[in-house]
Amino acid sequence: MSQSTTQNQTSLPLHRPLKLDRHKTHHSITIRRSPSEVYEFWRNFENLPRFLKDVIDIQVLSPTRSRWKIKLKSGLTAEWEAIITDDEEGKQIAWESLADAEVETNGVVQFLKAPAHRGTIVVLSMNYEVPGGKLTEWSTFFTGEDPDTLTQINLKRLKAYLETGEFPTVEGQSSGRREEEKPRITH
Amino acid sequence: MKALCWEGKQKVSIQNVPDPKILNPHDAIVKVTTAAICGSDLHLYDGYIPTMKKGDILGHETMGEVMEVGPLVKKVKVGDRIVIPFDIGCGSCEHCINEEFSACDNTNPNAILADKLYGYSGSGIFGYSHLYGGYAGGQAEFIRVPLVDTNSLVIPKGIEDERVIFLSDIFPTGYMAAENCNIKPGDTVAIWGAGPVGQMAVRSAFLLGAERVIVIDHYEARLKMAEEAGAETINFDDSASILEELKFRTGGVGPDACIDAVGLEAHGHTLTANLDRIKAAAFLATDRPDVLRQTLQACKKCGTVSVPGVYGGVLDKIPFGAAFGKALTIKMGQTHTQKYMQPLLEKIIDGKIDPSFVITQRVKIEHVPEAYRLFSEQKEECIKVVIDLH
Repeated sequence: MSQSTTQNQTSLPLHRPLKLDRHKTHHSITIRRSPSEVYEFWRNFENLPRFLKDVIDIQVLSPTRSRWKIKLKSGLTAEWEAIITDDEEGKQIAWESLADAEVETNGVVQFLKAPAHRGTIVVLSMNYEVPGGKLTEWSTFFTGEDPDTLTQINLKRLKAYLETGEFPTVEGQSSGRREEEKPRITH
Repeated sequence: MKALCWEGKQKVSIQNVPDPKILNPHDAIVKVTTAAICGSDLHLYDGYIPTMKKGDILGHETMGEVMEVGPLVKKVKVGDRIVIPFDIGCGSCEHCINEEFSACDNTNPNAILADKLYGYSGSGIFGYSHLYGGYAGGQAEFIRVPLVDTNSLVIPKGIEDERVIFLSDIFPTGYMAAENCNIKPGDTVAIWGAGPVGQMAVRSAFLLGAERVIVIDHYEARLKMAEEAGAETINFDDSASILEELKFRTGGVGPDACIDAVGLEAHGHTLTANLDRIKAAAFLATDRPDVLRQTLQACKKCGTVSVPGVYGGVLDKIPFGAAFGKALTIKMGQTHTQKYMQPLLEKIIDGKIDPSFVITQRVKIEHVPEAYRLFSEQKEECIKVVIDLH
């Protein structure tokens, strides 16, 4: 089957591609962009920190290796190296952390053609294991989200960015509050 | 700049706050020339809408002059006079493409909260709690408008603010409520609530071809304003049974469509209405839906119930059996304002309607807290307040 035929077919119903362990997250979102556009954006890992709220930096070390740095709630950070284990253009990317990494994680993101002209269904599945009780610390400064909620927020941010070219925000707007009274929205 | 800030239940004040600035590339900063207080602002004032924070700037009926635009704004220009819709659309998601702007996927930064409460989040809304994005509102000297190319209607020169300010909310809201009634020749539309949205719904129902409009309220000044547009009225203080009265007046058939232009703070004398008040006061219920109950009960078989009135939470004792038993169609939701602004502006320009008829008070920003109190407590004399800013 040629690539173009595949891209014109809807790949539904969704299935969950990973056998998952204790800490796992599965989420999907529909984005009004073609699978190849969303794939291209994601595959350029330097784009990821733009919409992944918890990720401070991703260094691309080689075509398949990258170094990830995330922020934790208490101001600490965690880092690990990941390797791409599967890369199908316009369809999916899978990765896992290297052995002995501080954060043990693997995941796969799929880019499925949505029905009619609705764009792409992005399916993200991840396992994560953070030793030493750091898991509960895996969240952002602003909101205190758990990794599962954070994944949903991150996917919404990806969608907003690809559809509108910006992230919705009220950070920095006027209010009758002093800075120290800023509301802390816990999702 | 001066801005009207929410301080707590039934407490608002004018504060000096920093001027807004561009935060995103599709933003504009607008010098507000006219704003208004909406009936739904009273739900915030009375503490019915959760996730308000002390210091939030209120206001979602706003117009003014564009002072500055972000680098990616394409259509709107500095100097344009614009009306700003209360709901914030992105213009590019599936819902916005379908002109369902208040269901926009991309403008609520706190969408995850509403997802958890409602299943899926609607759009962001100006000055309407952090559940709807926490956007600063327009009862202020300046406002930041995100995605301004989608969230604006440019007003031609020579049309006064007061004729077009209500394109931001209540005119489209009353119009969509009437449009949702699927009015056919000969139809009777019953409208609960002769407040600003009810008044717009009365006129919109006639514009859309209704034969009769019957308005239910208990403030004589408001009923009189509805009569001026040709509506018949029922003062529920004088009526033993609104349902019997409507049945009688419609020859035993019932209204073809019923509009709930009241929402979650209904007043009334029925047993259920009194129970609602007690439960809401004790935080045992979130909404007082007695009007919604009446519309479902009063509507004719296979008729339509249209709900522009705002509801927020979990409602008690809704006669769903009546709705099912009569095969009712129920339509509702926040208005897709952007869809209606241009066609309704044309109706204003063509002289088919002048929405400024509803204005009863004009105040300066310093007096807005007093106006909230008046609007909340003196519904007889105060129907619609506009704020004259620049």
